[in-house]
Amino acid sequence: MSDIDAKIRRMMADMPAAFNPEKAEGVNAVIQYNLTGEGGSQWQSRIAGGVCTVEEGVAENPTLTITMDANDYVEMMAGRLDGMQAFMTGKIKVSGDIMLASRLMTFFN
Amino acid sequence: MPIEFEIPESVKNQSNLTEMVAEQVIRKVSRYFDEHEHERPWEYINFIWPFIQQMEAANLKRSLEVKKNGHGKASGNGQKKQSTFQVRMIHMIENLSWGDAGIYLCTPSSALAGAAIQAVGTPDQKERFLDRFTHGKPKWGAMAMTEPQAGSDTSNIQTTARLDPETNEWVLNGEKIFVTNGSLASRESEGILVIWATLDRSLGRAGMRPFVVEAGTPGMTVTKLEEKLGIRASDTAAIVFQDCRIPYDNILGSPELKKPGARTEKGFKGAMKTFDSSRPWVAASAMGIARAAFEFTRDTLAAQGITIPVDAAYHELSAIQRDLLDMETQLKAGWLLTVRSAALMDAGQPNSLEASMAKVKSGQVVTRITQKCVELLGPLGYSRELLVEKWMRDAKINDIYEGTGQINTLIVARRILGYTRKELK
Repeated sequence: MSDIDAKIRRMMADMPAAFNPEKAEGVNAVIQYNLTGEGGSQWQSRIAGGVCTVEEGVAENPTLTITMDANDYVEMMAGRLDGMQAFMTGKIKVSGDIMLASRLMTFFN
Repeated sequence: MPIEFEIPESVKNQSNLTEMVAEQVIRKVSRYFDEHEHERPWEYINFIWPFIQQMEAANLKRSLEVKKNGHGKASGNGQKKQSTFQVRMIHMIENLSWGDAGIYLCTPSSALAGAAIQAVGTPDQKERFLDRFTHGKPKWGAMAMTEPQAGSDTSNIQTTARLDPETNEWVLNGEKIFVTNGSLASRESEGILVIWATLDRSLGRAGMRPFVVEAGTPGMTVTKLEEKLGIRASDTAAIVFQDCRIPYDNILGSPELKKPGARTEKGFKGAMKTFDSSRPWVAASAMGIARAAFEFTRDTLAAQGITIPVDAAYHELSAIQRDLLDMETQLKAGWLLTVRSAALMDAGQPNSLEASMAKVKSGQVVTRITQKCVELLGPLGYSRELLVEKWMRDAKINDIYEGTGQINTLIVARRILGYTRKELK
């Protein structure tokens, strides 16, 4: 429970370092992550000018909002849950720039 | 045994995805592609392609397994696990068509060509023709049946297939019109077309066979792109075959011909099974358009304070409320028929009658509902600033393609009354 919470915090902290600006050329977006259920939290990520930042909280006008179960998020980032499968089976709910969502994973190593 | 009307969880989850795509990818460009016929919705195509690839791969795998083992994949308790493929397909199609029926038709997939190959293809043919839809760039499958002088009277087709014994190739000659995805399948991608040709015109329907032609085969030329009333985003093409040569193994089913008067050959009947799959798909598309129009109209009226009181006495209802209630009823009826025809197929039970019923009903429902919505919305309904007028135009095709309303009504009548084609025309 707090285990999931701790894992998410670590993953979010690692996100800027894993960001590959070359893969995200010209991208200017605010992404809202709403991780629900036990251990859940909310995060806003900003990608602009080849830099990715992450901080806790709710963004005002996100380009894209991703809502999913906190545990599913951990499993997906750890490679134990296939992102596309999750998408297809409704485990990931997206609103806003859906095209950006499909490219998102490619921005990170 | 109780009747279950709940959508299975797995179907519902997948449905959420297509609802999202319809709302956020398709609707945004719906008007643009209506006004720019023959331009391709590449953003939608490229987005949906990875998901289609997965579905095609799973479907191909399962159909090859069934052939090998002679029975379906066993679940834990040894019983054959019921497929949900058709039910999932119609939910997906309904959702995407709610977005835009023309753009839905641009979905890269094996489509009707795949349905024909699945219905009567050998395992080798399935592998050879359908594997391409599981990887690489987007591709399309198309079916070519109609000709300038043959529409509902399919036995009148004149495209011929002659066997060249020296090269062991079929030589195709003829002209096909109104081929959905004809250009995309034949020359804009590495797709396939299933074309119906006759081995012997004197035998009528009994001489007809489906043949697979791969994209880029010499002798196959797109001669015209149709300009249409509705589903304008959809690619509709005329294709000419002139001494088009294809390998012997590209025929679907057996080339053996029965003598006239003998019962229609099993191969031909098997190929007609394609339509048991595709008619529910078309019905689902119609129901998506109908739901789009109905929901928009209901919500617009509700914003004006006009709602539907479900427990009011009939004489207390206004004309508009009666219209709304009628539309909602028709919507539910058409959808349930469609779901039933798909569910029967998933259960491995015959569904020809139900497929035709769903097709007839949905064609009637969507044309009535969309016209009524334009009427109820008045100037809003007529204006091109909204999509309602477009939905009315998009609706009409559902009465026409994949077996007209009249033809499907005949089929239903024959089945119910027990008449043959000769006895009831």
